[in-house]
Amino acid sequence: MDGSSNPDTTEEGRHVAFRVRGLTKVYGTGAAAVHALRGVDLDLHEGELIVLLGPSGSGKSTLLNILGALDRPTSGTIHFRDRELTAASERELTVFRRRHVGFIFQFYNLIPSLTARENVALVTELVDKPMPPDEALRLVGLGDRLNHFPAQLSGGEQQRVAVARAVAKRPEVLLCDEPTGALDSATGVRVLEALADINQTLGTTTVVITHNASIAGMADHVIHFGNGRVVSVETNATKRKASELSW
Amino acid sequence: MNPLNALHPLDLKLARDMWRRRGQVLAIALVIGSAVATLVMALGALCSLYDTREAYYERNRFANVFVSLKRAPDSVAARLHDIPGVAQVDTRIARYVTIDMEGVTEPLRGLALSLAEHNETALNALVLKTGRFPNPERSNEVVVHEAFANANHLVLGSTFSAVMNGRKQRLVVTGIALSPEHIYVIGPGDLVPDDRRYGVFWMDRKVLAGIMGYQGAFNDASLRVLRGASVDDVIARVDTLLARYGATGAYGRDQQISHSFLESEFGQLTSMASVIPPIFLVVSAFLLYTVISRQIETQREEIGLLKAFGYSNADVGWHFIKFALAVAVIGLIVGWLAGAWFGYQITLLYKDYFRFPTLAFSIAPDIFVMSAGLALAVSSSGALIAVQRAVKLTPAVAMAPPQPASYRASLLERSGLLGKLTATGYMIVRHITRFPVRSSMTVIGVALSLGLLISTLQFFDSVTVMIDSFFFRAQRQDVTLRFSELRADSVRAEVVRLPGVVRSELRRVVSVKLTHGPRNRRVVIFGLEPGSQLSQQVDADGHAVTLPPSGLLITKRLAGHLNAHVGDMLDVNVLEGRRAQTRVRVARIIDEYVGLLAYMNRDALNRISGDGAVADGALLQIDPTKEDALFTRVKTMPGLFTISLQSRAYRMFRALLDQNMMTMVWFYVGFAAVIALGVSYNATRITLSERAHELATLRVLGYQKQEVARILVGEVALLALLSVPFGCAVGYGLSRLMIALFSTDLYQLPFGLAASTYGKSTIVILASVAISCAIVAWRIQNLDLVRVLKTRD
Repeated sequence: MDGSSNPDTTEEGRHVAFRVRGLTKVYGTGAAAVHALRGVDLDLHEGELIVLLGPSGSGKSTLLNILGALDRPTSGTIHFRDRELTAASERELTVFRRRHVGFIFQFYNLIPSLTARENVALVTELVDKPMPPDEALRLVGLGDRLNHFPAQLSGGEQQRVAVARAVAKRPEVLLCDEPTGALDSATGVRVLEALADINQTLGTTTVVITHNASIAGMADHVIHFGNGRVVSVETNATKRKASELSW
Repeated sequence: MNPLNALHPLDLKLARDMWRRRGQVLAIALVIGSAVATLVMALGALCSLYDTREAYYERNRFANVFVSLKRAPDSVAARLHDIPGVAQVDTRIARYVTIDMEGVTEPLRGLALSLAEHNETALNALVLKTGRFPNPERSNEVVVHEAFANANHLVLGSTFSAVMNGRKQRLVVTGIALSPEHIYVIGPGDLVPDDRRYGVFWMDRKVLAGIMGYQGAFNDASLRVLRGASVDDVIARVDTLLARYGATGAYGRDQQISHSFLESEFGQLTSMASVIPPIFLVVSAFLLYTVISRQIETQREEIGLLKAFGYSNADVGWHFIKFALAVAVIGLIVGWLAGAWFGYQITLLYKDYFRFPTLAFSIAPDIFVMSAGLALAVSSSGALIAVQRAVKLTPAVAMAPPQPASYRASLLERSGLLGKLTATGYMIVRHITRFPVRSSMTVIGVALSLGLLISTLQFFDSVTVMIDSFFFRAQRQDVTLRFSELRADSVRAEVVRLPGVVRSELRRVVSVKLTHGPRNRRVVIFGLEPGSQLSQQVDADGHAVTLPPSGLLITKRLAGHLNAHVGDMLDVNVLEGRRAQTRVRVARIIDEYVGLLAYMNRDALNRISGDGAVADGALLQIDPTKEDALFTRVKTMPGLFTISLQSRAYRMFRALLDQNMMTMVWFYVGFAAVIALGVSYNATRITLSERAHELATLRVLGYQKQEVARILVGEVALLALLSVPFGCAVGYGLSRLMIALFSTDLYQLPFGLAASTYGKSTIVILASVAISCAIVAWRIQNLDLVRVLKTRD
């Protein structure tokens, strides 16, 4: 895993999930133009847990949004497996998100009018062979909080509902933007455990954005971002368990 | 320099807030504008008509008391003048005549009146529009009423013929005039003006007296009563004085036909000004309340900041109230302009059937002041309730993010009535139940607009019932003949021989005063032949009523005026002929909608009036192919007073209603749609504002735009559907109210709300809701998925 051209499979025989080439993103024009991405080349392989590290404004969230088809690049291409996302229509991108991508956000983004189970059902109603909502919630340790509304749950519990919601459709890709950003250390660790667990058991390609360098220990690869570019890529020879992390 | 920079920063913020919410600002301003427009139009038209009429009456000395009689010598005029309280008396000769207009087969009707000697000082003085008064030396000169002249293209020098006192007279038009007595020109027994078939003309008194055989005598008088004197006393004394001269009972302006039509128009304009604007103003207050509440919700941090800087509660409150006032001002401007334009249009409509020398639409300044006061007061009251919350926020609390919205399963859900819903279904239902006040206000708003529309469209149903009742049941004859004198029953042989007559029934009409306890009313009793086929009455249940051998059938409205019930005995004072007095039992109460009527068996009526077996007219059913032959024959029939055609009356009635009602109905349909649009646009817009975060989340999760739009629209659609039964109920009640307000003694509008009216109205309102939802749903396109995920809700 690095910024240069790679073969389609790793030595473990993993296929490339995302192939990113020459990606740039410019917000605004003229003097006010902000270059969020300045030419990114990346290959992300299936089943890996990747952590994107970098300071604010380094472009990691922009990359994540473009990977998740929430935003379009200014130039460059992205392939998800054999499909070029940069050539897809708005509608096709929505279908891509629906079928293949799970999102987890810093502020959980739960629907306050729906219970934990219903928040998960929101996603399982969209896809063909989802995990039952109850099962997804048990997976994140919330089997006893099924009928609670978000306002009745703690921050960590809310984020775990968001994790359950993201994984219930058995996505190929899980994109997490600061999933522990709003949580204390102990609660954050529980959420990370859930993420690692899913990465392990379901083989979901997982990309986690964080400011928090200690989280990098649990990743297969750590990509350092700076000024809209990939600065370096590290590979962890041995991954740490989420439970061993703290900050 | 940008002129905006001169504004206080808070006012600049206000201007920008308004621009950002321009859709909502416009929607609410339109609702306020509708209220203001209705007020300005109705009150403007009312005041314009009223002031014009009063000035006209004053300038041309419109009389206060009117009386018709058989014949009295000129000397009686002095005795009329001696009645205490009488300021001026004018006597004259008035006779209905048959007019023969060249090129018109059917006979027309006219009212020939003698001119006063000095028009400048006379009561009911004419306004000569063109030409001159007749030369007394010439026996064929006439001044004709402008309405008749215009409809028949009569100009100075035109001629027409009239059968006067059995002789055909050729008449020359020397002048065209208007009269305060004939602002609304309507023939006797007609439902609506028919200027082509009925006209008023004036001749020199001596000339007319000569033709009609009234030398030294008169048969009609007008009296002007001194200010402060009792009109009722004068009427009573006139009746006593003129009883022996065959007077049919003096009456005041209230029963003068032109005056009472104007009065009923005033009543309708007043009703319009009092029913419609309150509905709009209440709705706009609610809309402003919801918009400003939402603004305060989204601007918590700014409010906290302002307070932290040292702005007082009053400053902050005033800032939001200014928003409401600014919306009201936009509404006022829209309403004033629209109201002035509608008022101008309605005045043009009035010019077609109210004949004033001049009629200009003008809006008195106090109407502007009043409408402004109302709009500003109601808008700021809506804002005040919302603003209390902003005032209560302490800076620290305001600057902290709001507590996460807490939801719970509603009672409805827990009852299991809803069954199992999808997650998005629950989102819709719980959002509705979490804001019960706002949701019910939306339901009420849409229900009011639906109710308003139903109660407007029901006028068509009502008129259909009225027309059906009047033209196809009560008056089934094709032709009505009226004789100039009472004729013995033997006239039947003569009538039967007229060309084309298929069926004929004799009738008798008698003017009476009916008294029941302290209440009395002057009406006419129609004497019909027993078993009449050409005039049928029905009771309140719609069942045909057989004419009893004796006893009266009276209409519901007349029964109401007299507080009379079936079986009650009424005192009957016959106001003509022998002026008999007797008591008659009320046999049935009937449903009839035109005039205040009573029916009786003709033989029984003849018995109480003491005139023997006589008739004053006939109802005919004719063979339509022989219509022309009939007309030609009756034009020269001696003793015939008038002939009226039912088909023509029907066409005229329909045309007038269609013209007037269509204008009004489009007006109201527009108004109702404005409310529905305003309410639903506002509701959808606020839902979007509250749920933008959630909806963007759904988009991120893979929901397509239309699936997300469905949630947004679903809530308002559900509320709109919920409002349908309430709206129908409001429509029912409002229809009843409108019917009562718009009914007069001249017309009563029957209640006949048709099922299809509910349906049509519902479709219009739901379509308005759909349009506003579509406009807001379009904004789903612009949801910024990325930004929304980076911010806390």
